[in-house]
Amino acid sequence: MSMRRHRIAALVLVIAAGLAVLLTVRSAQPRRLGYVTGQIMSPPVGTAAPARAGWVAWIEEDYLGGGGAALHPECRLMAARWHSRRARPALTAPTLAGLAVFGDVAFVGQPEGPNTQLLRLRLPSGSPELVASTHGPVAQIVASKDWLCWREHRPAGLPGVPFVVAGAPINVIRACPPSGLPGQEGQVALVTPLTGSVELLGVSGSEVYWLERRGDGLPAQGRHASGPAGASATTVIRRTPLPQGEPETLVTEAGSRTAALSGDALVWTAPSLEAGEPGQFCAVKRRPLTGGETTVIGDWLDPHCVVLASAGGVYAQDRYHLWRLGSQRPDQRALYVVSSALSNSSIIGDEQYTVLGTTGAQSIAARPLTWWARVRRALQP
Amino acid sequence: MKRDVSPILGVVLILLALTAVQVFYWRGLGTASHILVSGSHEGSRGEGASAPTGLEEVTVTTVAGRPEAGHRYGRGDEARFDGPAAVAVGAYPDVYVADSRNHCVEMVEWGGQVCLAAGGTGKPGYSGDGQLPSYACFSAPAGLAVSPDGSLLVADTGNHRIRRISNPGGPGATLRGSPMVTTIAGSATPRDDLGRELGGYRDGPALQAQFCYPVGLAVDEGGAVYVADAGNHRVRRISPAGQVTTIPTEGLPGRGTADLKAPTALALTPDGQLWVADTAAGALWVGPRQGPLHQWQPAGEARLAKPAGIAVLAQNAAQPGIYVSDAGNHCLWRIDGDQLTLIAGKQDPAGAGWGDGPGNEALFSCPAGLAAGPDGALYVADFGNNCLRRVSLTPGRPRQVRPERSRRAGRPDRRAGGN
Repeated sequence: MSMRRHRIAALVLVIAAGLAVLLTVRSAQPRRLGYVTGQIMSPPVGTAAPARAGWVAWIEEDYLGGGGAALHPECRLMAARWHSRRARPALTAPTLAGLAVFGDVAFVGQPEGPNTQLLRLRLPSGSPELVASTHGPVAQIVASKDWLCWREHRPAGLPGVPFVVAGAPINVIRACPPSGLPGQEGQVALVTPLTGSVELLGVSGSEVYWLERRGDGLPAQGRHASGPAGASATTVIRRTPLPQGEPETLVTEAGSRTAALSGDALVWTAPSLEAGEPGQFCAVKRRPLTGGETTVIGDWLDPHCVVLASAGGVYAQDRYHLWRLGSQRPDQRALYVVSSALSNSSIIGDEQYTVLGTTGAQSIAARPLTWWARVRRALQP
Repeated sequence: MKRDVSPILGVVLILLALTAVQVFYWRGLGTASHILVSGSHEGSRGEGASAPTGLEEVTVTTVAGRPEAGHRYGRGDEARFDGPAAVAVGAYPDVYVADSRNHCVEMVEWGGQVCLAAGGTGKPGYSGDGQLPSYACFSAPAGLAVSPDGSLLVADTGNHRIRRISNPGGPGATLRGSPMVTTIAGSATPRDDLGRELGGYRDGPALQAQFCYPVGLAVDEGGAVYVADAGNHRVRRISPAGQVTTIPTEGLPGRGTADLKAPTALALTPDGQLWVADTAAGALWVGPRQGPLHQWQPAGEARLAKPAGIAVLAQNAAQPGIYVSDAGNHCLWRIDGDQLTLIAGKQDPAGAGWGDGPGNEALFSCPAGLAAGPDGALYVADFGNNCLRRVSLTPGRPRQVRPERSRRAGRPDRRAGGN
């Protein structure tokens, strides 16, 4: 009888241990925050350090119609509470372009012919209010407590001719207070025009940061017999005070690079000096926004990797993995296994939890970072 | 009937079941990650695949500049360009470079010394007619040619105008006469909300005509100027009397008329033909100088991707012929009859790079403007590498030709156009 009890106890223990392993494994994998009906047009954004009550929003596109009727696109601004898997549509329009979220307020661009209306709405279901009208299509929006900045992208005047600078696409960065003013009043044209590929990095305090890739339209980087990596392109990171001021160049790197604002620091990809082969590997550097020493926080990374940042840390994304980088020394852990994610991605989160999304994907990935967050996540319905 | 089940067997079976479940989940994880992030990434050409390369007997050298963009005068690799788009050979050995992102024209003297020729502010604008070239403003100049009287013609692309620099040159220009900038063709066009001229299309008197992103230039013996008007998809001609006309084009036989997509370079051959590089269409057009132009179809399998410059080496050169720079394939071609021969660089759209040496090892990055020098060499505005390259077509060391300036002010030794 005693032997039988021991057997049963052993079985129960084994099953319990197995279930614990299973639970941990299951909770460790990236989870879908929610299926996207169509595909993601604008990856998820949210407040840099989301509170429990914060919001995550993204734009997804789907095609409606069919069955004999003509297909037409529909864009939806979707919003989900932080830590929640349930997303709901906040705004629907034929096209939406650019998205920023600060707190529970979303800013989104709605194209109207060649122009774009910048709308502001309180999540999840506030009615949209007009902030500003632009002269050109809006490609990107960033927001802070005091400023709303956006980038207008004018297409190439001379498409298909990469070496004629005058015919290259033009970018204009503008800004206004988040409350905005209908019409053009209150807008500030910060830098006009910027040729090449331009990317807004964000607003910190009263300064807006952006990245310019010059010569980025030229194909192929990093295949040089004797030249440096990315000889065809130069990346420059600049900032300018709001509402007016002279742009200041912070970083110049050879090659086509990426950058992000990580709290009070700037992080960017650069040729790897330690590897000694600039075209083969890249490093991630960090510099406080207030100035100071530049440190290398990641090295020996894929030369085409993209740096992403959230309140939870700095990440480097290559075509196979998303690496979480240490803040003081290279401490690389593969966070996700991704298939091919070098298109426009974003990551938001804190020390316990992150949300990742990529343009063109069909779902949003969520990942607990700590053991307790994993267990809590696994126990959620 | 009671059967005793071995506890070890039971534990093993349960562990096996749990392992199977874990395997299922891990496989699911891999699958899920594909669902989670489904962006596309273009695969690169396999390392094993070999692209066609140029000729071993050709030698490529960097005359001035380095891949790092900048704006600095100096000798050889001390100098910095930012987007050199066009090149022209003036009074040999002076070579002019349209430094498009620096909005100026620079002169490369003997030994690779780079100095300013026109547009010293470094910022885009339209001003300075009637003044010294260094005080004039240009906007992303992308075309150059030297006229028979020695003046330098500039395609002021961003301003949609053609300008002339008389008695061009660097610091010594005043010794040959007072240099001056004038607009010879083009007039104001509508502006957008940023204040940029949008360009227009109008034939007629040169200073009332309108252009849209003029790029390539060529000048014939009589002084007529040919303009690759890229934004208007046409080739224009400015007669010596100052009348702008449009040169007609015709399509392939049996396909009716056809327009150019974005002509960016021109060259005149001694037999009276006008060659046009249509970058956006990846095609060459040819015809009599007054037109009509028709599309040139190469025999064989070689194809141009983005022809960006054309130069003609005269019959007295060691390797006479028509040469084409290909900004899409990062290489240089020679037209041999109806065939294309790769002479320098690697024919690989993903093979941009910077490397001097024999033609089969040299690398270019978006080679744009091309000009023929009187020394039988080609000069290339290597746009992506921000430098001026020299391509010697004869085997062995590059020929060292002593500068032989003409005693007559501003008169080049030999005429050489450029793009």
